[in-house]
Amino acid sequence: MNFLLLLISLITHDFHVSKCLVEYNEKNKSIEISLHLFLDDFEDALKYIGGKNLFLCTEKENLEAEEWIATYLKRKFKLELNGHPIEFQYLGKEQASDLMSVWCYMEITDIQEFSEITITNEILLEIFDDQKNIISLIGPGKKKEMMISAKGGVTHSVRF
Amino acid sequence: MASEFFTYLSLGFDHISDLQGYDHILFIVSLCAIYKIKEWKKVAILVTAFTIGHSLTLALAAFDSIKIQSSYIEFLIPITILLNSFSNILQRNISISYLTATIFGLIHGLGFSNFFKSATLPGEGSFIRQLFAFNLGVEIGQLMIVGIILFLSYLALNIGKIKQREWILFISGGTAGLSLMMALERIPG
Repeated sequence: MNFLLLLISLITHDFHVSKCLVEYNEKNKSIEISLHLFLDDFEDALKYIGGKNLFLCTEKENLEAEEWIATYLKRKFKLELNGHPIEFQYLGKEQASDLMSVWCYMEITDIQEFSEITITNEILLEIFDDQKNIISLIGPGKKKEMMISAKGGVTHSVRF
Repeated sequence: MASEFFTYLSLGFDHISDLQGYDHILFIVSLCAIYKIKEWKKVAILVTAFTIGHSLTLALAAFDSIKIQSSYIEFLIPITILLNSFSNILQRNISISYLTATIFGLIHGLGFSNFFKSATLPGEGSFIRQLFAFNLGVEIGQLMIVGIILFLSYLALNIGKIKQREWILFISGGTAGLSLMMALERIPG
């Protein structure tokens, strides 16, 4: 019976992936972050840290939902510029057109010039072993970099 | 850290060769089960037919030209494996037609597109590059699986001296059983 359960759990073909755009806006001296993740996975993760019955992106959405989201994102997504940790502000979220996922928006303002950015993305890694977090970075001079955060490698540094 | 191209290449490769979600692997296994290693040219044509199918729907779905609810696709994928396995068992020497492989490819491509769409990121003109790299990654993974299956069949038939009919029944029985389980799990509700 256990074997059967194992087999059934193996054949569900869920994939666990988030994607994130981190873009440096030279004119505004800001970094804009858009993070895309699946609603059901996200709710699992928020439940795990204590945010229960949030009903994200529905009419029943819990009043504390945004607070839980901000707490979670700050815990799991970290940025450093030239080796110094830097806090972002959580702006809000928007349900994606497929209705199954959500975009979360974050921003850092008043940025001094920097030559190195370090991104630690541990989003959903505590929930799924096979979680992959894709990060697309657009840095100074529109220089593009891409990286994947997954078990075994959650922190990436890019020099410009 | 990697370039955009290699990021999507590795995503494509990982997606098809992922042991956690092995439905695409199982299909390729059942596709190759009736062939010996010396018939690799036939396998290459058959796999190319499958590839034409899944590249087409992956591209169309990626551009939002077609939209099909993913629960139906996830159900149809094991059905293609089941049908292919039965065809292996029933038709002793007649290979599955190239047309069928293409049609089955169309279904698998829609499955790939669900994953691809949740992994693709905006950027000027990079969408096509991401799609191409992802597709290439899928192809490399697919060829690797084909290589492993043909090698195992070589070991079984030439070294193990197992009769080919028995090998086909063994492999196709396995793929039929697993895909039946998958299909039952995924009946759209």
